[in-house]
Amino acid sequence: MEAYKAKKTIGKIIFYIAVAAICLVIIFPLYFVFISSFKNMADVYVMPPKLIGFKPVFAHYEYIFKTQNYGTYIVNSAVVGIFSTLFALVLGLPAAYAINRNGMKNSLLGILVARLLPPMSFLLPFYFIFSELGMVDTYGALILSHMVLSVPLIVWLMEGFIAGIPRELDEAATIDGCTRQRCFGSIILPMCKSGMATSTILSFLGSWNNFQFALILSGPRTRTLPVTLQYFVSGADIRWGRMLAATIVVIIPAIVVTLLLQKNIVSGMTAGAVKG
Amino acid sequence: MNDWISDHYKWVFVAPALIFMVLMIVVPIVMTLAFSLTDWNLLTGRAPSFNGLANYIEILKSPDFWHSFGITFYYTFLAIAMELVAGVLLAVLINKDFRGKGVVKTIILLPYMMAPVAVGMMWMLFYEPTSGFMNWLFTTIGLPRSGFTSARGSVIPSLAFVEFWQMTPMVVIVCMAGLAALPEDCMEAAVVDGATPIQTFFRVKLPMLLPTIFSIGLLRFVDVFKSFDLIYAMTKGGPANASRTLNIYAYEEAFSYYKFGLSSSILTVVFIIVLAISFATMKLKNKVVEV
Repeated sequence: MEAYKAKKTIGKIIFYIAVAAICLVIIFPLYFVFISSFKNMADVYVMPPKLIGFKPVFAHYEYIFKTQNYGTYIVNSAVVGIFSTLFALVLGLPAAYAINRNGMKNSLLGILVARLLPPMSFLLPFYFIFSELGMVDTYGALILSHMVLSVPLIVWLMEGFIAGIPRELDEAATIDGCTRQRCFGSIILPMCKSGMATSTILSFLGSWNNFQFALILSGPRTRTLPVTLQYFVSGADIRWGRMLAATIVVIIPAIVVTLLLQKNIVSGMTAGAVKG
Repeated sequence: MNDWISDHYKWVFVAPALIFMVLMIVVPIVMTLAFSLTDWNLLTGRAPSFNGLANYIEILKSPDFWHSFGITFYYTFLAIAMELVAGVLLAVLINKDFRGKGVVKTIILLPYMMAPVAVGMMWMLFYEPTSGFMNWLFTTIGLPRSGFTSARGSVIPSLAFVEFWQMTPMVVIVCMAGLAALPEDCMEAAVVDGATPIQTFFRVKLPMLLPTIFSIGLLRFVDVFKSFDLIYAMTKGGPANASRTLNIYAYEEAFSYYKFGLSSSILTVVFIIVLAISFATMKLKNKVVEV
């Protein structure tokens, strides 16, 4: 019995060491980048690195906000993220409902095939069309292009969440003379609030993090945050402090959202993957 | 009016999304296919003219294309192998009740939620060849110094490692959901029969998790094979084209050399490869899972 207990304790210790090691592999780089964004150029290169007790410098943040218009870039990213998510919800929610209730499984297969396409293969025509229409470097082009990713995502996720709501509810409502649109608006939607929250988060972050579309379709007026990061690299010379400060600005929302809404994100990720 | 919508809600509800998707995905895809059959080059200033399969013949003959082709598979294989092995092990490790599980799950999720470009920039700092953290770590533990992303030989493994660092969380989360769905009695039966944890893992958990591993492996393949953000942010395909995957190659042909026709044909080939491998994986999955 004693031996068994000892073995169990040792097992537990090993387990916690392993878990701690894994967390360290993830947390350390984030912490390292975070503190490096408060160090001056020379200190970034001091090895072994000073992890605590150095004098923080705020000059990099001052620089990116005062000289580099990071305020504007944040607004650009937020506008594109909010509106592309909003419009994608308007298009995607009713579609997900009708697809689920009518068993239109082929449309889901279509979404799956669309996922196999390299994004570049619709970006090239977008670039062509939007430059013909004079829409390159407008919010419209960015919002529309980000919706190409978020509409399928929302339909895919919401179809799964709506499938969890019993059909008997719709039937009862329609027999009582309720129209389908009212049934959808006042019965179904209120019942899948957490699914909607999940779709909204994943869609917004997808847009916030998007680089490829904004790289081609944005311009000086609509530049979004991820695109700006590359401008700190010119040849071999990298302004580390400034770039890392900008990197922190880009990743902060993702970190905050993850800390607050881990459960929703996990449910969205599993709903998205298991169905495939 | 209300009744009409209600009676035909099936189409009224789907139509907006469907029209949007057709306009924004199907039409561009058809355009890409059409472009790929022309000699369209913005720099010549001539109107594009139809040239049949000439682009496809040109890329299939070009050593640059085959170089990128090989690199893309090398990168994809390395990243996915690491992600699947580590992801499954991690999922099995933390798939039990322990104090702080929620916190650990949140931490594991963090890299996945961040912009790939930002993650790339972070790792550029670690990979900095002269005085970066990784080389300091390597010399401290007695490993030889490396050029990481700035040397031709190490650039692909270095990039694949970042992809691995960022995307393993997805494998972990999905495998944990797969594990949670497994019937408990199998695991209990194995333990009662005196199976060691290692035996339980290889003989019981792994085979039962196989369908999940196939699904997530396929999803990861689709994403990694088309990976753009991370590679573009960290190396732009360099040094000396050593990390120019097919997607980066297509981007360069289109937006550095303005050969829209040629670029379209590369993209079409990428799509065909992804489609073929996805299809083969699904077939293989059905075969393996049935047995």
